[in-house]
Amino acid sequence: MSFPSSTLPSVVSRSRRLPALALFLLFLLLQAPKSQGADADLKPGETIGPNNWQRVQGMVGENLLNRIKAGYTFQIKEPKIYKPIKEYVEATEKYSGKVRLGSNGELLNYVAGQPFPKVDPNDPQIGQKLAWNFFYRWLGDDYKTGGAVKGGKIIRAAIEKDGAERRADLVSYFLFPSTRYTLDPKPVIPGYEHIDFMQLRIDSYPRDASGTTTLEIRYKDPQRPDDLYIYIPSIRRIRRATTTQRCQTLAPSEFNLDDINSFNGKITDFNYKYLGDKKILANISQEHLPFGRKQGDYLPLDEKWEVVDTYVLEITPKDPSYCYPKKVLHLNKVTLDTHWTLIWDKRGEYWKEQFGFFTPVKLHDGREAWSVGDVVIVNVQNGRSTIVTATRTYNQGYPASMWSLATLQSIMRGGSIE
Amino acid sequence: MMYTVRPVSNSILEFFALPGSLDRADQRVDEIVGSNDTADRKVRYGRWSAHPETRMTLLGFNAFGNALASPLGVVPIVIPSVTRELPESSDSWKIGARITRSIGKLNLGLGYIWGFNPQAADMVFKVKRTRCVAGAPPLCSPAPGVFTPTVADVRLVNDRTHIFAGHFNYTVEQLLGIPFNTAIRGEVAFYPNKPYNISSFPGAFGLRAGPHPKHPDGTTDKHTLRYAIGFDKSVLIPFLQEDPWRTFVLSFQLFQSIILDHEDGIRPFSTVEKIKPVSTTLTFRIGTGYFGDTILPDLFLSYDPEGYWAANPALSYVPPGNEKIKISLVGALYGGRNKFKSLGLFDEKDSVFLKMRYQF
Repeated sequence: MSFPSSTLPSVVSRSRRLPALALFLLFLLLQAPKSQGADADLKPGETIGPNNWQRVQGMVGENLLNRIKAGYTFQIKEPKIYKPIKEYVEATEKYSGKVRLGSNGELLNYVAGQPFPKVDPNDPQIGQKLAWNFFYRWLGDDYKTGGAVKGGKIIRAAIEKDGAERRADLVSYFLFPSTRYTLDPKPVIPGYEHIDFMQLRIDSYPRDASGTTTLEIRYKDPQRPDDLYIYIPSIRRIRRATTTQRCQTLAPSEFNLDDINSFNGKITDFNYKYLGDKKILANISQEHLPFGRKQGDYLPLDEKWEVVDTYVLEITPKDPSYCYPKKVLHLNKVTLDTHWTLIWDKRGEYWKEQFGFFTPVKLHDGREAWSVGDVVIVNVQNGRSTIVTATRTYNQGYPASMWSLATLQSIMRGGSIE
Repeated sequence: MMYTVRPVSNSILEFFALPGSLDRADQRVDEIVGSNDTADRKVRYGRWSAHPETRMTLLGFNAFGNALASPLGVVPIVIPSVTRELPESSDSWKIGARITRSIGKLNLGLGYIWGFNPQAADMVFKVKRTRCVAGAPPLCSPAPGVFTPTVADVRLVNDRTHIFAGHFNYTVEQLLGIPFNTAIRGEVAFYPNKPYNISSFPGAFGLRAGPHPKHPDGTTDKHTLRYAIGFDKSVLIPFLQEDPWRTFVLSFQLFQSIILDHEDGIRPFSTVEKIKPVSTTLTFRIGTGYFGDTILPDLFLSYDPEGYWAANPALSYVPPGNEKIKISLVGALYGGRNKFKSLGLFDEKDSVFLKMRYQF
């Protein structure tokens, strides 16, 4: 599996319009450089740059590879190994034996932990199972995104093609009320069995957006759409919104609702195909938050990259009108988080490229866990990019009632969350 | 203070008691007590102090009526001058409760408030008496051929009000199998025995209105129902967008106020324009963003079926390199000429203006 990760799926997409023989010849042509390309045997301390970009071909997205060819230089570091969270492993051992897939890909008999700890490449359902493993990866019992960033907020920079930047600050709080591992009650808060997660997000900067608060609730029922309520300060009202328009650009960023955490769609709304295992370049031990960079550019200048083992998962929508006809995730084999997300448009052209750094964080008892650090998404078609610094603090013990309309009403009356 | 009971179901039960300025609130409902007037140097506000029209003074006393006084003529003038009594605002506390529940995609709630209705447009004044600046009613003529203004002393109807309210919202993702992506919402409020000013139309001496024979104090109570229904919708119009996935946000609202058992002659205190049994306003808004939301067009339309309308187109620019600056070119256009009614209040005040906002 040393083909350029950003090229093969694109070819496959176009194949529907090409005769089989032409496709085969094209495939052979594209296979040719692979023997000179990616080299998973990268050594810590090795420098990668325009002179040896072939060493990482296929291990990074096509856009980043082009930036390397153009001069971006970085070092390879020793891979970071995270120890799985003990409670999560125990829950997996306790509950995974009974978990099954339903006829529509839904999850049956699931309680907590990793649904399918044994991944068999020959299993015809491996794609769907990996998708569920990704969805129910360890994310703590709750977390505050931005909690571990200096200032306690998520920092988002939207960068134009010419390098102009706009900043926004926000915080978001997640609660996983039915998959709890550390905080009582475990594994579920009574009354919240039907909910997968709840998110409360508050914009704080710039002032135009400050105070805008959204409450999103994801239900387990595959047929039930998410609930989304928005408090809009300028009209002092709480408004209901639909969440089915999941493709809408969250301007000025290049993210949409389903790009949150790389893939935030409803699992049962998509088809999944396992494309194989792959060694990729990532950074799961980010040292600087946010990473150092040149103003107007998203390239990390003071970070090293490391080789990580991943599962490659292709996601295609059941709804043909969905914005992303194909999305490819690269899932860390230990944490199940995504390091690279590659997206194609309806014409089969490469559209967006997303890489997420991770960083070690401490739990309350001193144990080490991992959290997303900086996430970069690049729209290779319009040249815009967005960087989000969003490191989490886990297991804060927030009451479930915080994720309710009453909180929005409280904010509406001038109250605050913390 | 607010007490909230949130059972783990989808229900929220809230009780609230919002005290008024009990510590020192001996200013009138429309006054601002400045920092130099209080021992603790804090500024306090009466319930309606945000509305400058209630603070209009002349020669040191409330002279709202004086400002509108008709010129003296050869015949007595019915109400050329008004003095108003405004109560203290010290007991402006209110209590209430609301229960909100989600049933599937439907979210709805019922509420009750016992307090004062703080809408300045709803102010109603009751006539205490009429008198003359000099002379005696009805002619107010202290000497032959000399006439002085009649003064009406009016008192604010300041009774506590019961308000029963409800709301709902519901999302429609698909309609007949077609993506609809719309949130429908509604609000309703019922005001039992809501006071209104009332006059007889037309009045004597060629005036548009005069005292109502059935209501000598100039007021009447009517049950009133007000509601709003509307929708919020985000829609993709790819051929109008450089980013085909940047939505246009649409919002529509219908407001109606229905006076049950309506009587002819009901009017706002400040003008002699009748309030019909049903008053309607429609609003519509559409907005989107271009080029990474650096160009933000927005259009707001409002329409009153009695013949009044407003249009507020706006085009804003947020520099791609500075989120603190916003420059907007805004138009404010109004139609329906009647400076005492609805949106006609702003007619002849059409304007286009440029504004820049810097956010610190």
